This record gives sequence, C-alpha cells and structure tokens, in this order.
Amino acid sequence: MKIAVASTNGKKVDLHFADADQFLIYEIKDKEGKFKEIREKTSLTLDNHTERWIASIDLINDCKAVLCSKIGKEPTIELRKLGIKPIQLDCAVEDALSECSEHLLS
Amino acid sequence: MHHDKKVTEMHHDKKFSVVNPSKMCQPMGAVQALLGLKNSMPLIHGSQGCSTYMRFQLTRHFREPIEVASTSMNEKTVIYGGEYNLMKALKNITEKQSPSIIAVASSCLTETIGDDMAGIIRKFEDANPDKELPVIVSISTPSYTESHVEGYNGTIKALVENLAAPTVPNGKVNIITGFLSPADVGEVKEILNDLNLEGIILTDTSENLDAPLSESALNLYDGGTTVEQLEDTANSLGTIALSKHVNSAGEFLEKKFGVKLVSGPLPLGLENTDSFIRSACKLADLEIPESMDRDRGRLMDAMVDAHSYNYHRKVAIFGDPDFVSSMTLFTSEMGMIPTVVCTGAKSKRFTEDIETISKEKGCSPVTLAGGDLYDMHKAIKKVGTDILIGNSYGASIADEENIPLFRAGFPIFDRLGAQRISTLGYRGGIDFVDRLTNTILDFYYDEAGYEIVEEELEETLIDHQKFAEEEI
Amino acid sequence: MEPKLEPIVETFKSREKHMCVKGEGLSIPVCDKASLPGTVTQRTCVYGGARIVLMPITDSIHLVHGPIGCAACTWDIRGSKSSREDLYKKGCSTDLGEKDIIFGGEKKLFETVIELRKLYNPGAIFVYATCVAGVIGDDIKAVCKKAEEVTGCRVIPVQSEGFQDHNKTKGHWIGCDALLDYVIGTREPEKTTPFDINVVGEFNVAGDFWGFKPLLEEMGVNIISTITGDSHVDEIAQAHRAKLNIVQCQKSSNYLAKKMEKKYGIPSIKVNFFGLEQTVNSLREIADFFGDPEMIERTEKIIESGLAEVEHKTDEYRERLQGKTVALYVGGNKAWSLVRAFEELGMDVMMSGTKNGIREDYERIKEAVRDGTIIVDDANSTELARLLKKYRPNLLISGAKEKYIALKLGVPFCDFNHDRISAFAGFNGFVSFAKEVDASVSSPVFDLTSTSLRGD
Repeated sequence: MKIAVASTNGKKVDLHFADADQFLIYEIKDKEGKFKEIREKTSLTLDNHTERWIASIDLINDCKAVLCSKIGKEPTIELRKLGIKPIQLDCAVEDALSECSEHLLS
Repeated sequence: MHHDKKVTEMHHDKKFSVVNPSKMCQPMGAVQALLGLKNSMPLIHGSQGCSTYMRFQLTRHFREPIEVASTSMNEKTVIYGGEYNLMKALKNITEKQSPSIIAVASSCLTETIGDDMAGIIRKFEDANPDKELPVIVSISTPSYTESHVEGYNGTIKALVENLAAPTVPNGKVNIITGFLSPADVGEVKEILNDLNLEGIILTDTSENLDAPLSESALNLYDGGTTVEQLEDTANSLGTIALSKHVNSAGEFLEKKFGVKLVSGPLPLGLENTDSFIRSACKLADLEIPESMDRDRGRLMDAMVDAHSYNYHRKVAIFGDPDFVSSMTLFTSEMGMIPTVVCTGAKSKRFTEDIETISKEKGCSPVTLAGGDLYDMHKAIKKVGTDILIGNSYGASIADEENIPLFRAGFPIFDRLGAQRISTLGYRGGIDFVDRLTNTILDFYYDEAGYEIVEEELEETLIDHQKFAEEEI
Repeated sequence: MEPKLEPIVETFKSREKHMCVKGEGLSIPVCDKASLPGTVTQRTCVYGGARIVLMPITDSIHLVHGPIGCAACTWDIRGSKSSREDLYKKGCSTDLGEKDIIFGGEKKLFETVIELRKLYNPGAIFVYATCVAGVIGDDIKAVCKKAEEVTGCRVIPVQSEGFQDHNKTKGHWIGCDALLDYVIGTREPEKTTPFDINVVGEFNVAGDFWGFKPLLEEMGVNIISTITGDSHVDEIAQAHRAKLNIVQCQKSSNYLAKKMEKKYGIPSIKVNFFGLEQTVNSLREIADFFGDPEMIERTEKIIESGLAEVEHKTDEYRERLQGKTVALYVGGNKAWSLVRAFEELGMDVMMSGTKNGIREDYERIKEAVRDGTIIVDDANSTELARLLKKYRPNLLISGAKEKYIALKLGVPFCDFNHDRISAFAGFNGFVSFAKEVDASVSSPVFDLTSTSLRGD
C-alpha cells in the first residue's frame, strides 16, 4: 500500500497539497512505512491554483492516501473519486505512517 | 420472571466493536450539565438527530419535557459551513425565548468540518450591538473523543472560564456535581444547609428536572444556577468537585483566582460522605455540627440492621466512573463483595481508584474501564454475581443470569421515579441501604422471611418422597 | 379587502403557513421544509429514518459506523417485537475515535464486521453511515463488499448520513433501497403458491403484526416475508416471488412497493389494520384481489367471527369516550390512518399533524379528517404547547418527547409511537386500543389538576 507524504524533509508533514513541489512515497509493510522514492513536480511554474493541485494529483494517483498539512475542498473531492484518502494533519512523518498502517484498509 | 431462558454464548474475545454501550457522547454530557442552568437554552450545533435523540433519552428518564434546540445542519451547510444556521439559531432563540444564557455545544459533525463557533458567536454579537443579547458561551464537545463524562466536565469548565469574574469574597463553596439525580443534588444542598454553608451549585438540576405538574414547567427553567452565580464562582472559598472526572473548572479557578480545589470523592457511602463533610468544613473553616453525627449514626444503624442479608453478597456495578468507584466502596462497607465493576469511560483514574479500594477492602473485582455491557456480561458469567447495580440496559443481563437489577444511574426508562433516586450523603445512603437490601429480600427470601436455597428445597422433596415410599 | 386570518397559534411568521384548518382555503399546510434553526424540533435525521425501517429485522446485526453517540442513543428503542431472534436489539457501534476521524475508519469498520460475524453469525450485518462517516469520506460500500467476500455473510451498506436531508423520509427510502439493492431477489423460495404475499411497511411495534397475521393465515394467504417486522433476512430475500404486496405504513414503504412493482411486476394494495372498519376493508380487499371464491367465503367468516368476538368488549370504553376530542401529532402515516379508528370510539379528531409529512401525506390527511380540523406541519415544542393550551383536546396522541408537554398542561396523553405497550392492530388490537385510550382519557388523576390547595 503506497502512501504519499507532502514533506520537505521526511521528518514532518509540512507541505500544503497544492503548493507541494514534491511528494515522498512510502510503502506500508508490517506496520511501518518504508521509503521508496521522491517524486518532484516539473520545474514549470503553474500560476493557477487549480493547475497546481491537479499536478499534485497526477503525481500521486497510484497511492492509497496522501498526507499533507492542508488541502482544499475541491482536490479532496477529486481524490476521493479516485479512491485516494486525503489526510490533513501536522505531525511527525513516522508517527503518521504508523497510524496509516493501523487505519487504512488495503 | 422465569421462562425458557435464552443463554448468550460468549466464547469470543472482543477487540474492535462496541456491543451495548455503557457510555454516551460528549454533547450528551454537555446537555446534562446545561439542564441545571436557570433561564437558559442549550443549543446543539449539529444535525437534528443529535438534539432530538438526546432529548428522547433524557425525557424518558426524567419523565419531564426536555428542551434542547438544534441548528439543523443539512447537506449544504456541511459543505459550506454552518455559520448561517448558527447565526439564525442564535437570532431565533434570542427573539422568541429571551433566555439569560445560550450555551452552544458542538457535535462531531461541526467539529469535523471545523466550524469556528466562538468566531461565529462573536460575529453575531458584533452584528447586534444595540440589542440586549443573552450571554452566549460556546463549548467544544467532539463526540469522537472521550465520553459524556468529559462533555459534562468541559461544559462546566467553559461556563466558568467565560463568566467567572473576581469581585469580593463571598464565603461560599463551589460544588461541581457531575451528572447526579435531582434528588442527590438536593441532598448535597441540604448538607450544605445543615453546615450553614452557602454553595454555588454547578449545576443545579434539583428543581428543573423534578418539576411539579404545572404549565410553568414548560417555560425556560425557573430554578437552577444563574449567570450571576457563575460569575461569582471566582470569589468562593473553594471548589469541591464531587466527581474526580469533572474537576477541570475547579482547576481553572484555582490556577486563575486561587480558589482552592478539592477533587472527589463522590459522597456516596459512609467513608466518602465523611470525607466530603470534612472537606467542606475545612474549606470554610467551620465546625462539624452535631446534627451530622445523628444522621451518620442513623446510616450506620441502617447498615447494621441490614448486614445479615448483605453479607458476602456478590455485586456487579456499572455506570459513570465516580459512581462505580464510590459504590464499590459503599457496598464493601455494607459487607458485600464487588465482583465486576464497569464504566464506559477509558479512565486511568478509575482503574487506580478501584485498585486503592480493592486493597483497602480486600476485594478484587474484574475492572473494566472503557468496557461495554457485552464485556461486563462476559465477566459476570465468569465470576458470578448476586445483584447488578446499574441503568435499565442491565435488565436483560439480570434476567438471563436470574439476578435482581437495582436501578441507578442513567438512563432508567423502565421504572418510575428516576429523578428521585437518592444515594448521596448519610440520608441518601440510608435510602439506598434500605432499598438495596429490600431488593435482595424480595429476590432471595420467601414470604415467611426464609432464605430461598434451591438445592436444599429439592433435596427435602426427594427425602419426603423416599420416606413416603418406605412407609408404604 | 380580505380580513387577515387569525393565526392558529402565535409563532414565527414563516411558520404560520405550516398550519391550516380543513375547509378554509387549500387545507394543505406548507410542508417538507427545513426546520428553523434554533427551534426545539421534534424531527430526527436521515439515519433515524433508515433505522426505523431496517432495525426490526430480527436475525441481523445493526452496526452504526460513527462515534458512539448515534448508536448509544438509538439502541433498542424501536419497540419492535420478535418471536425468534433478538440480535436486532443489540447496540453495535464502531465507536470512531479521533484518530479514526483523521486517518479514516474503514479498517476499523472492516475489523468490526469480521468480529461481529464471529461473535453472532447473523443473517446479515447492516452498516449504517453516520454524519461523520460521510464527512471523512469512508467508503462504506467498498468495505461491506470486501467484508462479505471474506466472511460469506451478507454485509449491507446503508448510506444514511444524518445531514443529507431535513426530512427523515429520505432515510426511509434509503433503508428501502438497501433492501432492494442487496436483499430482495437474492434467494428463491422452496415452493411458491398462488397466494404468496409480502406484508410491507409493518414493523411489529408492540406486536401489531401478530394482531392481524393469524387473520391473514386463516384466510389462506401465504406470507413469504414481512418487511420488516419479526423478519429474517432470508425471508425478505424471497420477497420478489410474491403475487401481492400489502402496504401498511405507506409513508415509509410505499416507495418500496412502487419500486417492487416496477422491478418485479408485483402489484400492491394499501391496507390499514387500525380500527374495525379498516381491518374489515383491508381483509376484503386482499380477498377480492385474489378473487378466489373459497378465500372470499373464508374471509367473510373470519370477519364475522372477529367482529362478534370483540362486540360489546369496547362498549364500556366507548361510553366514557363518546364526544371526547383527540389531537394527533404522529408520523406521516398514522396522522390519517388512525382517524377512523378514533371515530369508531365516538371521538372527534380536532387536530392532525406530522413531523415529517410531505405533500401526499397531507393530501391523505385532508381526505380523512372533518372540516374544521387543524392540520399542522413540523410543530416545535413551543407551538405544540400553545396548540394544546388553546384548543384543549381531551387527548394527545404522539411520541415520547411530546408526552410530558401534554401531561404538564394536564392534557391526557397516549403513546402511539415505539413506546407503546400493547398491540393496536386487528380485531383484538382494537379492544386494547380502546382500553388504553380510555385509561389515558378517563383517569381521575386529570380531574385533580383543577383542584387547588387554597380552595378557590
């Protein structure tokens, strides 16, 4: 089960979903999150807020859930349609991943 | 009632589900507290079901009309936020009911969508500068954490935080009651009266929830704690929280205004009532009056009168944490053996209290903190009990296990007089001892006063038959 | 210029149109609107609507997916009786906590369903979505599907988020849909007869269904299933094979009957087993539908003996009740279906109202009541108290929350909701009905309210 995390340093969930320029991807195995890769947005600047969150979705659309510090209503609706759970919170990445393994149904 | 009893198979352990809950949600605790305020309207910011179902439970328990307003959230408000509904509700209540105070409690819905109730209330107040508005207090009661016990606690805390204003010392004692029957709140007031001590009761349901048959009972509450009294709490000699789980307001008053806090125990039983009276007198620097000795003596007399029927009777108790822990102590004082004690709140304090009592009294009940009635029933099947003390939901368990149920706590919907159940203080204790013992007599003793012993009866019949056959 | 009609009772301006008098103007109040925020509404939510339709299914576990409050407050309050299982009475909840709100409750729901299946081996597990479950986006359908695959037990999602609509009628329909989509049509009966029927919209509150079930059986119809009183899931699963649906509570279940007609071609007739005349009419209508001369003859005999058995048994009560007035404030169906029954007791229905009525409910009420009857929609506590005070009926028929409003005003009250203690349907049910109405109206305690300590 893949989880995308909007984080600058892998220590804290500290990025806004649309504004995140990168997502750290983890694989949940045996109640822990194993780091897999960093996925970065293209360097093209997107002025439009909608385009920014669409780009975020495109980047993580194979994941079960995405952790971020904040996310708007529209991207939440779109993610849910794709079966991806948006989780808005402000905490350590390790703790969050552990909770994900407890709460997310594979 | 004896018939072909269905026996519940209970082989499995339960980890995830709650089956037959012994707790309710935080907003329910908020409403329980708010029913003790004078001239008030409790408002639940949430969907209609919340307020209506809570009213239903409260109405059938107290057999009194219970008024709780709702902001009637619907699909649109869930997406866009509940500001419009809350503002409209405050306007409608202010105009039509003119209460002195509106207390707004949140629900899981409004907490999850993140409505800023305090902000909306401020906006409402700012938009109506020239009108005389009631005091409006917001209380955060998300139903997905803790239980109704914490909801009650948070409500008293919010009221006091918002309103307590220091002026001049008042020589009074604040009493945070927790959710008690009106009769018990009345008893606490009587005790203070006997001590010549004036109390500010947080909150006073003794009149509101046991009203006479009269039209006036349909208006906003004429009795209860006033806004002025809430403001005055900052000036008191001290605060006694009758239940340890509802002391947060007391902690606030102590920290901010130096109002000393005494936390529990619930004055249920001899030792605990002694403790309450000592605390109250110490706070107010009073001598314990002689009238107390007389009442205390009468309680001891009642317990001695009853002891032979109660000795070593096993008892299982469920309900709110402080009620259960102090009832564990009281029944032990009477000579009974608590075998299972259960509360719906996951409370460490509760577990510790039971441990202390167990050591002191030499009992070792199965302790369920955060347990439901399935868990309790399973434990009862394992360790056995002679009598069950708790709310009406225990009736089917009692029926299946062929034991009597002594009704106490909330909700009690299958008997009358729930608001008049008295257990606190010496006088409430006497009432309790008499009623509990009589329940045991009704169930375990025959009409001639002999204890019914099932096996003996059977043996006697067989002997008689043998004798009769031999004779022939 | 037309004189301004005096409002029926004093209330908010926007509420005035929710009350009217039959014979004056349209005779249909404005209805089916959201309750005013800030009032003490008598309404519950969409979950409440779904719950009352499905929770009588006796061999099923009803699991509420949400924080503890919804389940804790609605545990075993339906008043529905069972002749077999009592699983339906258990209060089950996933008790969602803070972490579940943040990270989602799907896994917990899955584990809970698996656990409950192990504990009880039920005929089905119904999973009810609550407000919060909807807001956090838990996909109940997907979890139920997976759980069903793993356990082999029916796991049925009910999308009953409380906030969906101001009218809990929507909840009734959601409950009906759950049966249509997941239960009805999934099992074939061992044998069929030409007289197979379903009893739809009958929840066996206080044993009502048992009041007329024997009559139907004696007639010679074969009841395949009752939706949902005293039922098993597997019975409802066969419902699509019936030749006829008889619909008792039309408000909650006409929707189901109409859909079954469309999907399976099963015709439906509306019945009403409250009151002697209506019981007789219903039995005859069923017999006429089948057109079998032997059944018709048997039915007439049943009617004859039924009426003979209760003849004179209500005389004593009728004597005391003659001319007394009664106000109804009940669910959308009883607001009209009880009118004749009261008239048979010699009583006059002077007010009829509902909490959740929609237009077609009020059309029925309008037909059933006499001119001059007050018709009320979604009255809140204050309005109800004012109505009772102004018009002083001899009896209020309503539910638990309205009981003490009436009693405090010295107005006798009889519970016709789920706190009822005896069955009122059928022939003998009518006698119980008369007895209880009499016990409420004629009790001497109400005379005491006009006495005074100081002897005025």
